[in-house]
Amino acid sequence: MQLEPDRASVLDRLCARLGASGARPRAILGCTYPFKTAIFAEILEHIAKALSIDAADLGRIPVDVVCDKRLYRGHALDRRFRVHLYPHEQLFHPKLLMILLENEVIWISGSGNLTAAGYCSNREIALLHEPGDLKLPPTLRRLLAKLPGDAAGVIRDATGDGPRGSSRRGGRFVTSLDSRIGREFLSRAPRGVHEICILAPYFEQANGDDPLDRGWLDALRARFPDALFRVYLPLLETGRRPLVQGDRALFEAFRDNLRQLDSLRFYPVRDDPGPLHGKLVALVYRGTKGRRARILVGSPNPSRRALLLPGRNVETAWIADVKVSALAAFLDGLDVGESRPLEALRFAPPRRQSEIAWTALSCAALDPVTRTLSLTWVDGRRRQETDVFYGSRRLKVEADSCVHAFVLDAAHGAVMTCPKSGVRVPTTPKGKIVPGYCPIDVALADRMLLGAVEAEMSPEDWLALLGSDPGRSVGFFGEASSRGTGRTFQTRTGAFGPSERVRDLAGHLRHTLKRLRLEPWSRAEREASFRVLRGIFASHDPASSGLATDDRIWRAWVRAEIIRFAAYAARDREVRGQGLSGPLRSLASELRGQLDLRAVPALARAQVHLVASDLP
Amino acid sequence: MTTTVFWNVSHKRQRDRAADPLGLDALREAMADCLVPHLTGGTRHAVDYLWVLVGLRWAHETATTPVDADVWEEFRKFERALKQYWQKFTPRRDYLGKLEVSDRCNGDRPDVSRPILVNERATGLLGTYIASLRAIGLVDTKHLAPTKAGETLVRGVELPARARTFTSWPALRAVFEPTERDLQRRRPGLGPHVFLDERMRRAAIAFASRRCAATWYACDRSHLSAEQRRVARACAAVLDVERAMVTGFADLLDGRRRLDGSRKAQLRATAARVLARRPIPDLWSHHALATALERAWTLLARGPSPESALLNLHIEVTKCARGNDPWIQEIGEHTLVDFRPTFGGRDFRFGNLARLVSETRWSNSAARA
Repeated sequence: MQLEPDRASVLDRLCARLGASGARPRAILGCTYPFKTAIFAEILEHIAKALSIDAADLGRIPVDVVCDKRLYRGHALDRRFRVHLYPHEQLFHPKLLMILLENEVIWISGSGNLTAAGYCSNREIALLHEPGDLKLPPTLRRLLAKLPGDAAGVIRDATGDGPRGSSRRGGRFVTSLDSRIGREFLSRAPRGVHEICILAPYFEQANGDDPLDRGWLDALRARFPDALFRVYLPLLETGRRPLVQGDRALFEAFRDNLRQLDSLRFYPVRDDPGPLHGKLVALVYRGTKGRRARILVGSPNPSRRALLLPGRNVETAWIADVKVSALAAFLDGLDVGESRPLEALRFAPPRRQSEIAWTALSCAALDPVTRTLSLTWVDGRRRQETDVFYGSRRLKVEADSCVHAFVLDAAHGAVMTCPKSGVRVPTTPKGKIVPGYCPIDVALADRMLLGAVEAEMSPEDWLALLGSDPGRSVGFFGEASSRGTGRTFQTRTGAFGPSERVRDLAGHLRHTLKRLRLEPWSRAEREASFRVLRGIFASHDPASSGLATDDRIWRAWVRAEIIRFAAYAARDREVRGQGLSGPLRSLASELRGQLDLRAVPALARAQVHLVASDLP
Repeated sequence: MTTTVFWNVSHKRQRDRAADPLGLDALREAMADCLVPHLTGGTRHAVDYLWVLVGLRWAHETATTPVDADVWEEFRKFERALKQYWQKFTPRRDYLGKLEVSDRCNGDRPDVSRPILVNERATGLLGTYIASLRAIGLVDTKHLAPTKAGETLVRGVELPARARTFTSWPALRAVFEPTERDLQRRRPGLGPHVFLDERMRRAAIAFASRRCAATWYACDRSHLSAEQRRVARACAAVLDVERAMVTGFADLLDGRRRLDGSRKAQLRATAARVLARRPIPDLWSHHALATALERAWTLLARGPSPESALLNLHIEVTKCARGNDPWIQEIGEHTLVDFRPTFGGRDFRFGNLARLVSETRWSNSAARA
């Protein structure tokens, strides 16, 4: 691990690295405590630019964000990514951004959330990891196994376990899912520790019920009673007695139990260029190689809940050994000046979170083709007591927990749950009850059909998903010329003429094949495209009642075109190279099996059979 | 495995586009839609309408499939070439992407392979004119193709561009110069299409009857419909209240908890005036932004705390109506947003109307004849 004294933009560095790799992305995963859509969209645009791809193309690969449900308040819909809430009860506090490329995985960890403050204004500590291959720490891969969404699974499956690492050789990655991070840090602490630096934004207010921070500070003091403690706190106001963010009673109690009162020194950190949000604990010791420091850096605040209690927070951190000179240069970047004793400071406790969300849903999944929103309740009783809103509209939830004819709106990517009027909300000493939010989940393959499908899909609507439409211009009349003169457009409105339907479809299938040759389909695109092809096929049933004979014939031709496209594309040399041959061939034979031509006159039946039969 | 640890600083961010934090841009757009429904903020020149039609026709011929995506691919090449022609051979400079085009024109040959604008589809010629062209029936509503009327309008105007046209400056000039001459002559033919709609016609007469007018307030409003008249009268009041609200909101973004007495008085007076003028068009009156604005004006005119009224309006506009994150959630909060409001060019598309009437030489009597 390399501790750098110079400040840098982690996103710029990541993008420079991505640009140098020249590889294509396969999945992107973000983990954060609070989440803001705008900054994540901005990050994705930077990443897409670095990779020389269109940002909209990120919708073709799994791009997921996992955040904590307590702070989630909905997000604006963005088709490029999906938002998931961490499904378990622990407070989800990791800050990660992982980019899986074809031949390596690059990732960021540290203290910065996926918010504008986390990436643009706060003083955050960023860690950029470049393994150079597809190896990840085993602890991180175990965390990925617990996360919802596709991206975590894709990254986990594509990567293997790297070396577990050790504090002395480059460092090791730890998560609170494997062990208590604080215990792990202390249990392998070096001997001869004479100085401890603690840097954090929150030393939360201690109270009788849950004296959180005293636990961690006490653990450090008990282990290193003779050490000098240097505490870095956010400075709120300058002056003769600067005002810092923290709890005086907590530090007074801590100091009273130190062997020497002057073993506790404070360093107020100015909020220029931004408020302190980085978290670091460093144990400075004298070893055989001179003065070194064992550091713990990552997402956990110095609290008992984050570092010592099992099953309370999900945290990630990096433990490593560095030279003291490197640590000193790193901390010099804070430009804090002289240390101060406790008496020379005023303290203002940080604001506590005092809201409890009315969480009634564990999942809201949308099928954009059927326009059905399926709700999964956290428990049956909440269902009876809850109103579900989308924007300002109250949703009518049917007995099967579904909302039918659901219309998605770009401004809102989540549904909101509130207690019904008249429901007695249990009072709680922790805070007031506020509405809860649940992100709307659309499967990756279905995301491409978002907004494209109508409530009742007619054959024309299905064709329109490929770009066909009866209203389109289908060609030119008049003399042939490339000079732009002497030609008029043939424009139709209303329904397709019988042969136009097939001709237009054939044109769009040719276009689809052309595009497919230029750029392979991702798995999700393949599923979406197959769904459309199957939809066109199913909607053109020649045996439907009330059809004239002509219509039956043309519908059969549409079906034959779809089969022919699948069979032809499966044999295309360039498509074959993309591994799509098998699925396309299966699709062709599946549809061929459903080609029921009994309602079609004999002559046409023979012709359609000929076209749809397997190619020689 | 390499791991580097450092203090993060912000990446280089593109300055946020004035994102209309109080919904006032949307109000002006709605008012302009009532006054001149078939124009947009970008529809400035009659000849550009015709260029888009010619470009679409050429793109359709050149594309290998009838699919819009392919047509667009060809059209964007046409647009890049056209802008380079303007820059290199004409004095015209009022188009988007001047700097990039100007750089490109220093080269040995035209370059139509690289984009000129970040989002060419939305901000280029097609994006700017397509809504208007569709509204006046010159481009198909579902596809990128001229309608029969559109075809007729540019029939006989040649654009003999081939791939080699885009490889040398003389070839580019040889193709685009005669076409542009032809199109300049065809501009009067556009007038009857643009001003066919009743509201567009009334607006054009209102301008044409008093050509020295520079604002909706000063033109001959007697020709407008009752609703247009009401909206036109309210334009000045909207601009006044906008200036007061936006400046007050900028103060709140600076972290101030209370506004100056003079600012409060200005807010109170302008809000009362705009309420009296009733600027919101009927079609837009049920929109969430319209409701939020009316509520905010009422609170600003009569309520005790203009700061809360502005903040609540901002939260309602961003969070409820648009689904974005509010810039600030509480009074006194600092924000990162770089908000520098400017107040130029807010004429409710009056300038565009005036230019189009002049360029097409449209007159009511000629249209009737």
